[in-house]
Amino acid sequence: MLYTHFQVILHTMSVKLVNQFDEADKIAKYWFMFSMLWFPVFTTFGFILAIKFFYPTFLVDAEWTTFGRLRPAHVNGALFGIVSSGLLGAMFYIVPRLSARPLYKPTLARVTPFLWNIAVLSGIIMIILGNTQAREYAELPWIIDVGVMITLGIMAYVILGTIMMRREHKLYVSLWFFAGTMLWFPIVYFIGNVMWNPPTGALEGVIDAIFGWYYGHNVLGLWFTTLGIGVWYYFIPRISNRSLYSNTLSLISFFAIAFFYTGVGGHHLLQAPIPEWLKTVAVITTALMMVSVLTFAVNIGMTLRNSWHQIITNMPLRFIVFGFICYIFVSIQGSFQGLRSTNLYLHFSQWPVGHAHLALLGAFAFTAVGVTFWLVPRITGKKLYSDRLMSVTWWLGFTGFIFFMSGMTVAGIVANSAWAQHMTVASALPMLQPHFIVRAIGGGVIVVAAYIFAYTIIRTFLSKPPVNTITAPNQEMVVKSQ
Amino acid sequence: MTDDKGQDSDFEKIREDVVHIEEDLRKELHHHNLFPLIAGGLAVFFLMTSMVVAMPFMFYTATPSSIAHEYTPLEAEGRSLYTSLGCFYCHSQFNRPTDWATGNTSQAGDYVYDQPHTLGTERTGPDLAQIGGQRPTIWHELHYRDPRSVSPSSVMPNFGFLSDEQIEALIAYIQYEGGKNLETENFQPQVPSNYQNASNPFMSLMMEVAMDYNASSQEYTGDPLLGDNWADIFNDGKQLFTEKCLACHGCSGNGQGPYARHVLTRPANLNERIMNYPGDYFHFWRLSEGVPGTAMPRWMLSLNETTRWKIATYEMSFVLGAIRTISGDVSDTEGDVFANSTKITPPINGTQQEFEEGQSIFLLYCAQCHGATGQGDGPTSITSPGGYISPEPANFTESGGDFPVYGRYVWKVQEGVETTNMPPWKFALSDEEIFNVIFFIQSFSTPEDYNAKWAPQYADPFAQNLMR
Repeated sequence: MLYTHFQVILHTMSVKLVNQFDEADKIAKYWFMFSMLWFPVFTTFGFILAIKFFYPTFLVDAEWTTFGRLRPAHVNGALFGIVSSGLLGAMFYIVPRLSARPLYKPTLARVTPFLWNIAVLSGIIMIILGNTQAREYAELPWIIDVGVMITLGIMAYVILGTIMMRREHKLYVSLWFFAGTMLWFPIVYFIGNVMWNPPTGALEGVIDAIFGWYYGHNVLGLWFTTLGIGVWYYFIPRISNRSLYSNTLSLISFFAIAFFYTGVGGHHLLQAPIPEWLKTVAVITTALMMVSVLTFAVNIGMTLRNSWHQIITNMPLRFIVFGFICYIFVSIQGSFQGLRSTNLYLHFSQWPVGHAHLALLGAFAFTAVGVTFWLVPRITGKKLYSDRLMSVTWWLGFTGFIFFMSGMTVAGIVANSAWAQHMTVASALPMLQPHFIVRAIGGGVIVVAAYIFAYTIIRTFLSKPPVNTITAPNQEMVVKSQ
Repeated sequence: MTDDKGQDSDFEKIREDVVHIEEDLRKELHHHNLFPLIAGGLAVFFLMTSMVVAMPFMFYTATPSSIAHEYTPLEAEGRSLYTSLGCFYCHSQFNRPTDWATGNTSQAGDYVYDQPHTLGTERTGPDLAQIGGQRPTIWHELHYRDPRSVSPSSVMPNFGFLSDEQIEALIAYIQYEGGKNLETENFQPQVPSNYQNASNPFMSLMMEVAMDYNASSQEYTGDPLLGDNWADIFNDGKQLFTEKCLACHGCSGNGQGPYARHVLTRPANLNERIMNYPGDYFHFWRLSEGVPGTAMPRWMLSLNETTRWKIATYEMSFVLGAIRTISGDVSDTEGDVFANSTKITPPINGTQQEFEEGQSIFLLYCAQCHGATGQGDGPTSITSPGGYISPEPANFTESGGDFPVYGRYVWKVQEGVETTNMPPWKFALSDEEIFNVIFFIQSFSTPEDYNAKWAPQYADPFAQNLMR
């Protein structure tokens, strides 16, 4: 009642109550819609791939359904479709709030989710039809790379503009990471994709592998990780209602990431014929990534002290904190498996595949899902369609992930130990079959969770907003004259 | 009222000051906060990027290695299929120093013509860096169409949707991975340099006597002295072969001697193997240094160089046939002389047990050439398809007239037949075994022949009644 009165008064004064973050939230909403749509689609691709490991004649009649085509589609869809969209949505929500001002150039920013996702989708269709640059993680054809670069440029312009012209004095740590990402990643993308050489998008010889893995690891290190850390630094204190433990630790982790993460790409090529000094640089920076990871872990862990119980009561926080824990696990795992001796043993098997999923699914996709669950009701002003389905998503996703992850990790160890005893690759395959089946079952459960997630969010979008409540109770309102 | 106004203006002034101070403060904070972070973040990023990307790009060059080669149009088409079908997601393409039995450790120079690289990150399937030439082309074709038809544990997709031309291109690419050419003689390992110039000292003699020898009529028309020289060398080699080699490689060199079943790696079929050797020096190297990973010994430890060459020379007869410079009559005459001087009769009784022992010896040793039914048509006999033992081994069924006396049998088995592949069995079998096997061989003759000549010589009723 009070609100209605207030609105009537404002109307008579010919002004309107406007949320200064409306524009940014609308863009964030588009990002979340894309992320939510891609989630079931590209995890289904992954499920098909998992089946092919123990049922090799499954879907082999056409070129585009073979493993070699669906795998890059799954990887690019998951990376640039699901996870990037989710994290970028969160970024567009966070940056104006921490800058205490509306998004800079919102009209320009509004094209980014569409440009990005249309580029990624058409790129994936091209890959499925065989037009691939055939460099792992950098398969997207040159023309799509151009689209991605334009989108990155617009985003950098908008986000850096917003941060530069902020009204808030303090520069909160999430903003460092977002600003850094917007500066680093376009460069990484340009160099890593060898964009000055359009026909192949590649160089000749092992140098191409060096460039490819500089990109391949930094798409994780200077894109997902830095976006994700920005998101964790914002949402974990924000949702748990605790202030950040230490700014100094954040500073250390920021510079450690910028310096050490940039150099780790060579650890993908530790037994390949690249210069030995490059391998040494890669191994040292890989080990020193522990600096960044542990400072971040301590910072968030101390922020959550006495508040861990909230992950029981607060479901979105549970997703986000699970993502944070997975990030710590995967980073420590990564630092150890990037050493020469462990890498010699673990390379080439399903273990690294498990490692990649721990990062992208466990850490970043779970976080993106948590953020989506928490933000979509706040952005749209609607109640989440079903808390119960959110809970079902969690339990299916979590249980499925445990089986999925352990299936791959065990398959990896079995294969690696077989090879270490000089068994040939083909003769070791039958031993891996049970683990492939466990992986597919776990993955299948995750796919079910993905469909439930998408259904819940779609129903939330489609539901009618409740009448007579203030749309976004926890957001600042400003009065803007019409 | 005036007081009020004054108060208002003062208040305004103070508020303006506060706003100014606030703005100054903001500017200062902006500069102090954002710039060092951005500049520092970019600086360390560029420092590291220049180290791990720019430095290798500018300073690291690889010269093409011996297995690097430019792709032919067909191979290039195969390679583009390889990348567009995503083969590299499951097949890596570099041999690590620790990898076992997949080729040499890969070096940067192997990849100079590859763009993009296909080093790969996984080994769901085997590494393909040096797969070329390791399997026949038909194997690859079957493997692409239905992988499990040739590799039962494979999880590779069927590529049956590819056209014949595409499969041909893919095979062309795969078969040349590792730079091997597919010429048969190049399947051999590299011979150490100290063996590369080794040449057979008896080769010129062999060529000379071979020129005067007609294999179909088994007639030697050349210098008898040279023929005798050749016979000496040949028989020395044959005796050494019988003593040292026969146990594994078999008397016919087909790799099926009595010990063949006891070794994990099958002994070489000398006919096949020697035919594909790049040269004498290779044969001599194998003979001298043995074969790693097999039971083949390093004969250089127990035999001198001349002896080893004699063995090698004898083994050439498994490919070219024996050059019979000493005619068969010589051996017959010698046998008769032996028979007359010793008046030998069968020293055994001719029991069923002796017969069966003779049979098992015959099947183990003799049947390779003479055939299980004694007709001279064993699997290695020149008279059988794929056989190579020439002159042809004796046919015992038609040989009633060949063995008029028992002593000729004993002589030929114990001493062998000059300049043929019939070995001197006294170096491999005991006398008793030889007598038993002769008894068994006699059962191949016609009943009349047997009953007239051999049955009366045995004491045991089994032998006497064998052919009745």
